[in-house]
Amino acid sequence: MQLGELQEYYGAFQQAGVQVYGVSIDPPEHNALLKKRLGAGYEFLSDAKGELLDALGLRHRHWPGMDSTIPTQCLLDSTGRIRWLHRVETWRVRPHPREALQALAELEQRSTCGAVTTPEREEPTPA
Amino acid sequence: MAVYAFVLGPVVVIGWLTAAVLLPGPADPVVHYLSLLAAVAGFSAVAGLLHGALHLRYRYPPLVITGGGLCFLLSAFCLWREPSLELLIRLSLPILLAGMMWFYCFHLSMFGGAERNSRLSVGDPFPEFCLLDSRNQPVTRSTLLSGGPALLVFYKGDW
Repeated sequence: MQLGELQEYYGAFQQAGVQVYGVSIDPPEHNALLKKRLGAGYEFLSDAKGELLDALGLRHRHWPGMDSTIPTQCLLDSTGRIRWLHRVETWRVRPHPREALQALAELEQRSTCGAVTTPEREEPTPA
Repeated sequence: MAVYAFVLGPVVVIGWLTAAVLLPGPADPVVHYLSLLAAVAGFSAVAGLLHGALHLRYRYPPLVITGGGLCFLLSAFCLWREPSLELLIRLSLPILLAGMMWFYCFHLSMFGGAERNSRLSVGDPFPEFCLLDSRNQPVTRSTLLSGGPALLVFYKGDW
């Protein structure tokens, strides 16, 4: 999803009680400018050395010195478990924030119905 | 990189426009109009890629596929009907642009399977981390989760 688009839907995430973080390989100074430019309410996290990206296998080595992130969305519950994932095979496609909100609504519905009392393994959503 | 795009780009476009105006057009009116249509289709493929980049929603950007495809087919037909160097020069820029757009869509913008190496899967705990926020303050997994559920958006590009 685009960062500007994410900001448009940030209120809906706040209402749902979900914190939103953008993670990239850019340094904090870049993110401070970006946050200001976008007027973003959500926070940006900087993984300038790419340690987390390497641990998750999300570093994309394109050209030397121009590494970037494989765009991925990851919804964590308050215990730190991954509850929803969105992966892509090209950087030209990102999910719309509505898709994350929909996944969130479905998860909440399932947990209130008692179907998911304990976090269980699920198939990742196809990209 | 940008220098090439901003200097070489206009030079190629102006050179092509000059050649297209100065060189004699195809004798066959069918080839004449179809070659113009091929040029429009080639340029529309570029517009299709920009449209796709703004929306980030199309696995196969529709205008890139149709515009590019139409450009290739019409160019091939025109060159088959009236093979000449003038016509080839006339069609060269649209073919080049449509080809670049297809190359970008089907090769350059793909991760080449790297996305399958991701070690994330639903149901697994997210690993520990310590990252810096935009105020240079460290954020760890536990400080992040103390605020409740979280959506982490690993992104590329900053628009």
